[in-house]
Amino acid sequence: MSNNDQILDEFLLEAGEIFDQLDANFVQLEKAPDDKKLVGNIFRAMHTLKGGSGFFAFTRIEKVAHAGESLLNQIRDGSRKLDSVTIDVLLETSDRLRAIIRDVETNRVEPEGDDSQLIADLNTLIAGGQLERRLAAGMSLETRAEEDQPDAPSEPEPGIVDPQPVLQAQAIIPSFDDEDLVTEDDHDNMSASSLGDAVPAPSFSAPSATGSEAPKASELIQPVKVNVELLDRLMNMVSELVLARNRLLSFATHSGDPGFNSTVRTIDMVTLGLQSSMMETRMQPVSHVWSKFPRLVRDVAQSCGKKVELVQKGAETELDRTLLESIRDPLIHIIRNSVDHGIETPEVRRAKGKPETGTITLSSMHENGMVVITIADDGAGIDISKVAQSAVKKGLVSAQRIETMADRELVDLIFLPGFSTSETVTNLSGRGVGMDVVRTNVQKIGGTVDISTSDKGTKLQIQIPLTLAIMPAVFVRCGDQRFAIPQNNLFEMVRHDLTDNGPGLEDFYGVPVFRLRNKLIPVLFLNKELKIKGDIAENKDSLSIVVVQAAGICFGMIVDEVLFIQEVVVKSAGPLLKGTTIYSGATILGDGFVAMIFDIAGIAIRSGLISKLLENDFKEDLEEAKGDSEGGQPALLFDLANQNRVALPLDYVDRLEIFQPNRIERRGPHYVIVYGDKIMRLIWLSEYIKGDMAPEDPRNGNISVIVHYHSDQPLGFVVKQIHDIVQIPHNIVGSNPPQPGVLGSTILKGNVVSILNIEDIIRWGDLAIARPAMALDTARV
Amino acid sequence: MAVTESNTYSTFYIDKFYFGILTTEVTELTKGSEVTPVPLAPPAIYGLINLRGQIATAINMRQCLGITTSQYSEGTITLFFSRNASLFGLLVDSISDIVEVDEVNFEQPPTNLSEAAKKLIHGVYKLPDKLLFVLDPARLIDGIEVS
Repeated sequence: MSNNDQILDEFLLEAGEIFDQLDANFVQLEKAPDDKKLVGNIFRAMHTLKGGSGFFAFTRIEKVAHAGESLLNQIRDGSRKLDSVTIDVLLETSDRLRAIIRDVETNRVEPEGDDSQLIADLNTLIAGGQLERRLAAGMSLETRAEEDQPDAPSEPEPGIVDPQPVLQAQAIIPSFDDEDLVTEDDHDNMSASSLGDAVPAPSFSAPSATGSEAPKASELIQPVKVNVELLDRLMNMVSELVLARNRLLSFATHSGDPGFNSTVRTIDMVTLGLQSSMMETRMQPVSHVWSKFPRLVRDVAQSCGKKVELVQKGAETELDRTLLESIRDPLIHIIRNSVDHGIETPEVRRAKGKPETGTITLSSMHENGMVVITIADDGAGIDISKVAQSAVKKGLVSAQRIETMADRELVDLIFLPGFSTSETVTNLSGRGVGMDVVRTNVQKIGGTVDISTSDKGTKLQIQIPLTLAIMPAVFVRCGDQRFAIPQNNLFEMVRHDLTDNGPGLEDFYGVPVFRLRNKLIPVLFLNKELKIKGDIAENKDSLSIVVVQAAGICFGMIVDEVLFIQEVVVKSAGPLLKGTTIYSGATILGDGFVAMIFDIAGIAIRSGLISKLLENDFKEDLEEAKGDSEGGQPALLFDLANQNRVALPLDYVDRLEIFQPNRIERRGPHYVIVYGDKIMRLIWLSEYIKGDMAPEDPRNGNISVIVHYHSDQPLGFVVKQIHDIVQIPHNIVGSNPPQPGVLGSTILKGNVVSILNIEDIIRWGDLAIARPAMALDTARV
Repeated sequence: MAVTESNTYSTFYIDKFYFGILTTEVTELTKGSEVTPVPLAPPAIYGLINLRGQIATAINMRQCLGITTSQYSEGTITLFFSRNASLFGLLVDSISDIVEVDEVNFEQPPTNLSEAAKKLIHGVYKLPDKLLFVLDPARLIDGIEVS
């Protein structure tokens, strides 16, 4: 009978809402046992369940709820004190009812079952008897823990399969429940339960449109229930309207018609208002996801024998509804880890001088167009050496690599797939599949996860973009195709000078790089990456470089042309393009054409840029790249007759002179020049350096000489052409095999420069005999 | 014989092959859809099409069927269908009639088809003058997804 079905559905829906609220209320009650209002709420909840179940002849629910109600009544009128055993039993009652309801959802009839033990316990308490203390929610925690398989964190149902009512334009998200993170056999339950789970029930609160803290038990305006599919359709249409308005605006700027322009302005304003209101319907406070956490922390802490308190800050911070879904599982996992591994037992904490009760602080705030969620605990921190050992043992990283890693990098190892340090895999965590999934899930929605740890605790920071529906993007052209780069990833846009006077592109182990102020930015050619014929000619004057950041690096994409910045509606590129990692979606442009939206992280990874940079220890900041805080040493750059680009540390350069050939005199095997009141020996450097050019006779014309005082005697190093004073880095690559007269070489502006070993040369000079290669006898005196 | 939904086929030509898809599967036919190419996409994907604000994935049927002897020309027609809430477009050379078939004429696909084609062809109907190859769009999409 469809009417009955409908009524049952409504009952189930309301029940779901009640249970959500119950959890929060119970945990609250434990902290504030005298809060009569809370007790009243819980009592009314039980009462509602009992009443509804009577209509459907759900006798199990009726009986259990009745017993629970009686107990609550005693507490309400003060004849019974609330202690933790009572709370435990009440929680168990709530869980039992929830389990029965869940079954009803699937099978549409009440399942068989035996509640006599529970009812007996309740009655014992009602009669004033004693019960042994049990684990929080007794059996249900164990069953919950068994069912919970962290190695299959469920993907939130993509799209909404069944129409789900919404509260006051706030969409329902399948609420957190441990049982949702379940194995295959509970999959039926999952889709069914999402029908029943909901945001806080209307009778308890009506959160205002901007969201609020934990709902108060006061009567406000009754919200409306709206189908989520409808909201999505509306959102899509508003997005298209926004784009059409953009196009309209561009027509208006060219039109001289005032009537037309003012109408366009009106449309503009209304669209703006419509867009922001629509955004509000998508935005939900993070508290919707957080509301279950106090219970989670309580249960996990109890089963671990620890004392932990959860502090929430900024729960009213809002986030796009679909994104909330994506962070739910990661947050659960992180909090679990905190309690299970982070926070120490009370004894250990006492010994360390920490308060017995550990604290986990969950905070959320808006910053820079992102939502930043931080989970911090005051526990023992992550044992970095243990992490390193475990990673090596699992073959995830080599022992040599570990040596070279800084602490900061070692901590990041926990994000590697297959990682877990727990010797014994507990039911709750430690299966080694958690943190990498956390990071993947967060990255999938364009966010980042960062971790820092010390013996005072661990802090995890998740950053996610506020919303994905409409986003500003930079459009670029490659060949005759247009592509969109999300503005979130945009760092800067540069026109880079390629002419001879400019810096050009330099090379870092095969990766082209260019300098951007004090950074070295690696680049890639978009047309090469996409295998499109672009029109970046080889000998073009300048390059259009879009500098972006993602996946932890900053890099530049060389495109044919930068077109414009525009807001776009992100649409899925379809199921068949999921594997093409360089795209995060597609959009439809004003002219009706489709443009692909890049996934910058995907491009970075696919191009191999990241691995190449890591392999060769790329340092972005130029100060770092010099490898020395002094930034290198000054040197004189010059050419020799048989080799270009040779350098001499400025320390050895006392003066620079040019002499006419008639001043050169011959004394024995040497050539000398009278220099002031001293005799300066001349040394032709090209004789001592094996060069790559044939030596020409250097004495046709004036000679350039570098004067160096050695033990008070001037020495003249004859060179072909002096260029400039340059900075050479301290890290000089030694020649292998060692080249005579050369200390080593380095890279300057993309060219190799040899650095002379003057001491060697001077020593040889002392032993020099006239070399046959030089027609010294033809020296004109 | 009654014309039921399950025995009428929308037919079309790709190269010299005559194919059919159940009319109930086809949502739309258009000529001259602009296809935006997607660099680095799997070869079966020709590109993306904007169908009144919805993005459809254009499928290169020649690639899927292993037909290498000819190319698409200007007059390509797109046959749209929907699967799992996503929109797809088959690129074909020309459209032919809607054809009623009789189950008795159904046969297994001939063995001399290419491997690729065998995966997608459900079977054939022997028509008086030619063979109608039955395409299963679901298999087509699933096949591409898997590869």
